[in-house]
Amino acid sequence: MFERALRLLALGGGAVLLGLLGLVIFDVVMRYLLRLPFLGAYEMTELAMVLIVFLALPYCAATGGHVAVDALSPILDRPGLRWLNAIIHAAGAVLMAVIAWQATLYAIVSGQRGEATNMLKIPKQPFELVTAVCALLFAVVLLVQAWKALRPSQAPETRR
Amino acid sequence: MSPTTAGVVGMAALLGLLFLRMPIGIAMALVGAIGIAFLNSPDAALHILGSYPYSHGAVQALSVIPLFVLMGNFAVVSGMSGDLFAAAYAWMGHRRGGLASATVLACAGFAALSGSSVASAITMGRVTLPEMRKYSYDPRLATGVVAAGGSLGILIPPSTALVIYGILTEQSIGKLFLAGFLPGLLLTALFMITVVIVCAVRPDFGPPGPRAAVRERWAALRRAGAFFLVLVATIGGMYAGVFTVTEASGVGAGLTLAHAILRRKLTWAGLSDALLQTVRTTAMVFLILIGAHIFSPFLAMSRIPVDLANALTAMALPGLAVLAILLVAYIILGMFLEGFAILVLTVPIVLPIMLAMNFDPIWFGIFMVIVLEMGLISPPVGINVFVVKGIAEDVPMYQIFAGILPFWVAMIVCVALLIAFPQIALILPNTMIR
Repeated sequence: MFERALRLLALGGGAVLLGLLGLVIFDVVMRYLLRLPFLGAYEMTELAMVLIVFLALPYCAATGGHVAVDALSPILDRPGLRWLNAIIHAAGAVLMAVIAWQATLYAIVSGQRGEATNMLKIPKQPFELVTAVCALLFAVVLLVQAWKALRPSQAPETRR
Repeated sequence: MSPTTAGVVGMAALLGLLFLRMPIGIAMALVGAIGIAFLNSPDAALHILGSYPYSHGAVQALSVIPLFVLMGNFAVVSGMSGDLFAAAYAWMGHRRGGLASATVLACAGFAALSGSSVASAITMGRVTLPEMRKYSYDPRLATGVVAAGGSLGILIPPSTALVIYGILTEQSIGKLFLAGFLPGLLLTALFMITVVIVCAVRPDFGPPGPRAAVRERWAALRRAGAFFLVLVATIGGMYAGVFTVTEASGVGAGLTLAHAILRRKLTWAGLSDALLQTVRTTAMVFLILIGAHIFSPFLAMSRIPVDLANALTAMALPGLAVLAILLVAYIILGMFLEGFAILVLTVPIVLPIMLAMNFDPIWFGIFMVIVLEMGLISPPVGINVFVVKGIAEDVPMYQIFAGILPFWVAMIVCVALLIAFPQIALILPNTMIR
């Protein structure tokens, strides 16, 4: 259930990516064929990147997509070291929770200052909040993996 | 504790966390934040944690990463990857070892559509390994050529490794891409020569396949025509100065998407799968990038890179000796660490040394990438070896490594040529039209 929601979120990022593809091609056509550069393309690309990267972040974590070094896997997969794997995941969860908390504060300040993009005046705050929410979801995924690491049958996947 | 000691402790902690399988990006962000809190202030560390994920995600220049990854995934959906192999096969399959040579060529072609070595090895491995099995190729040659050929993915542009290098070193990604092109062709040629030599020594390794009629050959080449169009539009467009890197990536992804639609290969499931794979890879790369950005101020505060560069320049070692030391060090690191990890860990330390010794940063990027490729296929943890093992499950690991060895030697030859003739990497970026 949770994982399916994360998948949908990532697909949302994929839809934004398709939109970005359209934007880049539109920009190329406008510039070379009609000599009319589309001035908002640059900042729209920036904001689209935020959505593409962060909406997929928790999905990538849940599906074991984040690159880790597995040189010592044969040792670390021993049942006696389950606690260590759980701690590593939990430490990651703490870091991501701190990032979520700080990114929220950052977004609040940015909203108070009314920060927006240069040309199109799109407010940045919603996008900054997306990073915070996705970092929090990432933390939840890591907590779930820490919990699973403690139990015998279903060790979490860390390899890609 | 002095900044230097703190830096050394931080590096050791980072290495420890990496070996405990903490994802690279998380480990770098964690150690970096703690280090900054220690050397500067906790407030500074918290501020960086809150602002860097957004500010280093919202980067226009980095849109080339998802767009080029998307281009590669659409090329798989449209069947362009299979067309490439079919064309190479039609022209070379009847020669001894020809199927293996065709695999190298198809890998090089796919590398021009994809920025990832793992993606190249998976995609071409699924197409070529069953064929080589059918014609009773020796499993050592078959698996070795796919693992090595797949590694071309990060050398021939586009390349995620070169994008990360470009971000870490503030070099032009367009120049880096063009710099990788000729060395990529050189390594492709060296791999094909390796196949010829292996099959000359052991003729039973690569028995010849059936000869395709001349008409079939041209037909196969025509079917792969869309690939050449994409190649000219992306790499040609960048070189000629028609497209920026971002535009080239968008046009390339658009062309492969159009190809998939025209071929009637695009289903909703295929589209959503390609999009999901792409954003997943993008998130993976960006977690590492953001982690590296949080780690690098800590490394700078520790003054280790500057001190090390000063110490080495004071020793006045000849450039070749330093390169040789680096090569050996990277080969050893490559055995244990993942390529991206090596890149983000070592480049901030090594690049100041290289610059102090007057090496070209673009050239060094290509040197690094070839060395990383060697790591991809080195025992005990070469990722491409696991990829190939995943497709050819019945081939034992030691056989795969035995098959890789000759290609590994070819990579050493490539590095030596690159050191002897730096122009191989530098001529395209230096003559590109701006």
